[in-house]
Amino acid sequence: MRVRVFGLTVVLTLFLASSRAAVWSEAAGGEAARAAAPSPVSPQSGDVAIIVNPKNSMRDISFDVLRKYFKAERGQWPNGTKVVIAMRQPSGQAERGAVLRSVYGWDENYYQKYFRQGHFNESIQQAPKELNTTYAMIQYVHYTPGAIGYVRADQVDNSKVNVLSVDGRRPGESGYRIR
Amino acid sequence: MKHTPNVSVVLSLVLFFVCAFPFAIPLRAQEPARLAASASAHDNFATARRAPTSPVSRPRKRLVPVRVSDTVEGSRVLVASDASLDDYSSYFDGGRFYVLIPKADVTAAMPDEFKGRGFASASLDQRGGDALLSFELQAGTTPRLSQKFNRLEINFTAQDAAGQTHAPVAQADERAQLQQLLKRVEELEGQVRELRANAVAADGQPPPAAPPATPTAAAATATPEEEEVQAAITGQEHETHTSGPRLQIQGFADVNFRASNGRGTTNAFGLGQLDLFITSQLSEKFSVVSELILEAKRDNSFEFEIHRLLLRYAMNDYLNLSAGRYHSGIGYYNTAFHHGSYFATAANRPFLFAFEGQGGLLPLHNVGVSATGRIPSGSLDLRYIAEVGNGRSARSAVDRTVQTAFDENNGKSYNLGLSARPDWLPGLQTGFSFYHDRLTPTAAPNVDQRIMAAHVVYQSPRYEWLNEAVFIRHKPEGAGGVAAYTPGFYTQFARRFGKAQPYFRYQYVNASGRDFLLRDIGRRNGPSFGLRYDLTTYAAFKSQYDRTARRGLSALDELILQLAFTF
Repeated sequence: MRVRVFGLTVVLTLFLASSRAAVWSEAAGGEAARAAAPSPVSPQSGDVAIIVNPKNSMRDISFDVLRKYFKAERGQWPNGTKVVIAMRQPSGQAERGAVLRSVYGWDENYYQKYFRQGHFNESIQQAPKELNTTYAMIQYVHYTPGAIGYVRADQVDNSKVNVLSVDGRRPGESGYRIR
Repeated sequence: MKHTPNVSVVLSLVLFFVCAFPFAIPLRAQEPARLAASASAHDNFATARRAPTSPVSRPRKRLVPVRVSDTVEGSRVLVASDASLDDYSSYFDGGRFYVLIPKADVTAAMPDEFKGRGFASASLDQRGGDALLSFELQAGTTPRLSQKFNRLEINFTAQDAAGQTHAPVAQADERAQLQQLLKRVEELEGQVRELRANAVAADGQPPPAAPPATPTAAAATATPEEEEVQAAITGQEHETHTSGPRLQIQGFADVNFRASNGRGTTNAFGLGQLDLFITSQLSEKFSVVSELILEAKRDNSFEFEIHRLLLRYAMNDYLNLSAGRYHSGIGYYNTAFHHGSYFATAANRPFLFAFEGQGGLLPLHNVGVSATGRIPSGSLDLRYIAEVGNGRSARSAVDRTVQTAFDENNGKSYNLGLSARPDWLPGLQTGFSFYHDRLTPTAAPNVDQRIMAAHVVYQSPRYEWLNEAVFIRHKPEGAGGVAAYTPGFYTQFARRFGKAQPYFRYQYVNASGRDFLLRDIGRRNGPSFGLRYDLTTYAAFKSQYDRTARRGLSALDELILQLAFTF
């Protein structure tokens, strides 16, 4: 009798566990289906994707060169298009903090001083554009040739922008540096 | 061995409940995403919707102010956010229609009540961590919801007693058509910009076909984000000059208090230079840079001077051309800090880089043409500078040192420089420059002037370490001319602690007694100790003590208190 009860319990437990796994995978698939557009980027908590205008042929960029673009030390893409930097506005934006920390290696005050002084000593022609929402960032990068910006990796709209891999790594992959 | 009958049973039950109980909750949550609406007194088509759940924790959403607008059929309420709104839910309860947005924040600036056609009243409230819209529908009104990415539209279709939709008001109809036309204009402008950019970058191939028009919503109502994007793109167009150049003016100034033990000097408050930095973008590649200085002189009069006025052509990263009056690219300090003391850490410039009008020994201003750009060099990131100009006058008593309109001789000065910003240490810059000119002093032989400068600087948010050395060679032309050499250097170190930035500088310059152009400078050397404190992002207070030893004279002690700001 005891054996039967125990055995029945084990069987039932195994059944429930496998069902739970199936439900989870179904939920994950449903979640992907509900996304605004299919995204090859796996949602990874904290990763920030670097996005460029869809006409930009660049797909991978080294971290050092990426930093130079964001510091406005490179004014043109290899195809000659003028680089336009798009940043999220200050006041607690997590994505902006991630880029300041990971890409620039600066704090907010130094970033502000750098671009003001760069404009003053003629080394920087155009200050970054600042946008308030993820939607505005994506739309701006989509419509502006040469634009480069960033959004959370799980909020990328691949129908409007291209995501750059950095040092061969895409958001969500091990070793991705911008988070 | 005897086992109590309950051990295995208990173990089995424990194992069962450990696995089954947590599963019960997600099971319940996996109900169909949409449920049919419970019928009310209204014959409505809105579907009461249960929000889909996800095992992944969602970030909180920030809602932008709700927008209400009239439509042909009734009204539209637009809710937008900085994240997807696909987890909303709606339902009817007690004669009101509710829309619940989980994990959404309603800011204090947003109106909590609003009105529109089809509903007598509406409110937006914060319910714990969620935002809740509620509407008191008028008789015959049907709400329809449409969600796409971060926008949720609630369209209210008003019906009269006979069940017909209200006939369109002529004014609302014209407004809707106008908005549709404006939306179409925006799309066409976007296509034109893309075509223009492709034409500029084309290498002979025909421009690509215009991209398909962006799908429009039911009516062309600009959302706050769309307005923001349009403003950003329009601002971009201003800079590329589809609508004419615009001046941008930034000001720099400082107020000082100086006290020293120098003979004949008194303690005094004083205005520093008022620096108006003016730029204007003429086109995507042409721009104007100017720096106008208004300065109080020792006789308390004011002097106005144009210290920079340049027309710039930014051809590409490898070639930028400028023509006009510029700051010479000798060394690092002159082109990094210019006239505004706000950007400099210290309260004054090093001896070497004192301006000509203050007895400086370097030609820091020039009028001519210059070229700068990058040199393809991989991780070394080399940059060059090449300048040709009038040079400075030979410190003749009657001539102004900067030859803005007249050159004392036909020869032109030139300056060539090279700098590197290696990738392996961001913030580091090293460089070297060579300057040559021919000076024509009054009643003296011409002088061959050569100035070599080298710098190694490192700047980061926490540290600043500036090191520069200059070597000046003046050789009178003609037989018997003996070259005179004037070396000089400074090192400045600063470390930031929050808003405070203490710094130390040591500087040295030793003008040769044989150099009749610079002998009045003599030898000067000594330390400076100071503290910069950032009062705000745009204003700083500096206090500095200088101790300067001078050849043949007593040491000079000076205290400088300075408020430097930009506006």
